[in-house]
Amino acid sequence: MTEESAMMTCGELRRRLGPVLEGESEPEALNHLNACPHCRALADELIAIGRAGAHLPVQEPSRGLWGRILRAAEAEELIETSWAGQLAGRFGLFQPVAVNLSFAATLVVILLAAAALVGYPGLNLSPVSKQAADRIAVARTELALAPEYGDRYARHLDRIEEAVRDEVLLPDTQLTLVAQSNLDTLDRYIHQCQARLSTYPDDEFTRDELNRLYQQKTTLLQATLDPNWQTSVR
Amino acid sequence: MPSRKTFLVLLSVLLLPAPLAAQRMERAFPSSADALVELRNQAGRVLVHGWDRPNVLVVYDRRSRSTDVHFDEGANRLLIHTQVLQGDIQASERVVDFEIWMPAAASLDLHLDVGEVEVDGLRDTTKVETVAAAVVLREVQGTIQVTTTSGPVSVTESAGRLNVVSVSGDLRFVNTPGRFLAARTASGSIHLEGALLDGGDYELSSHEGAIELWLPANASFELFARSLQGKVTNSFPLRPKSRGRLPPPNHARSLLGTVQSGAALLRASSFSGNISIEKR
Repeated sequence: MTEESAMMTCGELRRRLGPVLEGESEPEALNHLNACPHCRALADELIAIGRAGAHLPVQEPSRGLWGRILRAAEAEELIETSWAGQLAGRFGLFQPVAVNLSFAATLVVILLAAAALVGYPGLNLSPVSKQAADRIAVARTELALAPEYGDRYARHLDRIEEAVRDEVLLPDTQLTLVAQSNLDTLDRYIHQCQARLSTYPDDEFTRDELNRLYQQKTTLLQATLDPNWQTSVR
Repeated sequence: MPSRKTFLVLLSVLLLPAPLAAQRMERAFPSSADALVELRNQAGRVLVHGWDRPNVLVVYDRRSRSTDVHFDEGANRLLIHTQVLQGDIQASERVVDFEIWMPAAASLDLHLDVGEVEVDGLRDTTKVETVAAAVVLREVQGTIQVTTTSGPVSVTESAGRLNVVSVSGDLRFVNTPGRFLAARTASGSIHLEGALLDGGDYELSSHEGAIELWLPANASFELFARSLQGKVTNSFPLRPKSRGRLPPPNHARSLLGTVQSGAALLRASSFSGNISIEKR
């Protein structure tokens, strides 16, 4: 998909992606996402990041934070406060009086960003995010980003396997048998490692081995989605 | 006027079933020394040789007319790919054998599903990916990357940066004095035979298969060998590490130490396979 060939360009889509991911109905944007693998991959990455953010522990700001922000703003001469406001600030009570407009706008952005980081609500999956190819792209990205987290591997492998089941109907041929046999082997080894880790959770050797097996399984599953492979078995 | 005999011969050729009509063809392409040659083939025997001429020669043999071979020439790149013209043909009819001569300094990117691959004489980047095809590399240098699902891999007399990964294929390395070797197979075995380079980094791992190392008696290396459920045996005089963390009790089948001056780094690990380090 190129910028020229779509009704909505990639640039336009990216400007409107935020509301779309939050569930706003924009048929043009959805059409573009269905047709453009690059934007779809971007959308799924954003959804994955949103999900990851949703799993972060919620952090409450300390009682003194607002006072420190006010004092910093005063030091920068961004705001002027009344005597009552100064007093309230010192006691951790929020009561700014005359706020510089640019400061207010900056503050809103910061607070929104902070809210997104500490407690971003789980994004609803739009129809777009259910694209199989995107799940694989996201899984691969996340594997590269966080290879040490075995549970993430497992979750994303599940996602990829779903995609393979949904998208690829491999006929019963020699290559399919090879793939299935090797997937079974890898699954068996993965279960061995998982069983051991349940007994020895700190066993780094087994954890490393498990990660290698996850990587191999991911590679093999991705290979079955490769057009060359699919052509071969037909 | 053709004779009756000639007519019958012509008729028999025309009526020859397509699958039996093997076709041997030859194509030549000019090429720069640093070109990239890509081959995408589904089944067959593929031989690739490096040579000193500035062109690529491709000889191929289709086992049936149900497949076709395409050549796409780009800037500094030649893509050769086979295409199945009929979807419901038998596996044997998909076979296309290739023999390719290409500049030794050019790069190769080869994909083959089933059959066998043999490469020799290349010096730059060699990338081979197969599903069930066996891979044999001889006298190859540079960066070598091989990935197979179940195909065995054999690398001999090659010096380069080797990265070989397979799920169930056996991996064999004989006289591969490169500075870097990473070999990984899940259920296959690994055999390494030959000298290690000073400063070399060799990492071998298999989940279940055996790992065998046959090294010269004067080999010098730091050894990190671990098998969780298998045995680790070593015939070299090993100086245990005097400092550093001792292996935890559940790694009782580990050997960590220095042989000679520890000039190379050798790591071998397996979950349940045996590891042996023997003198050649």
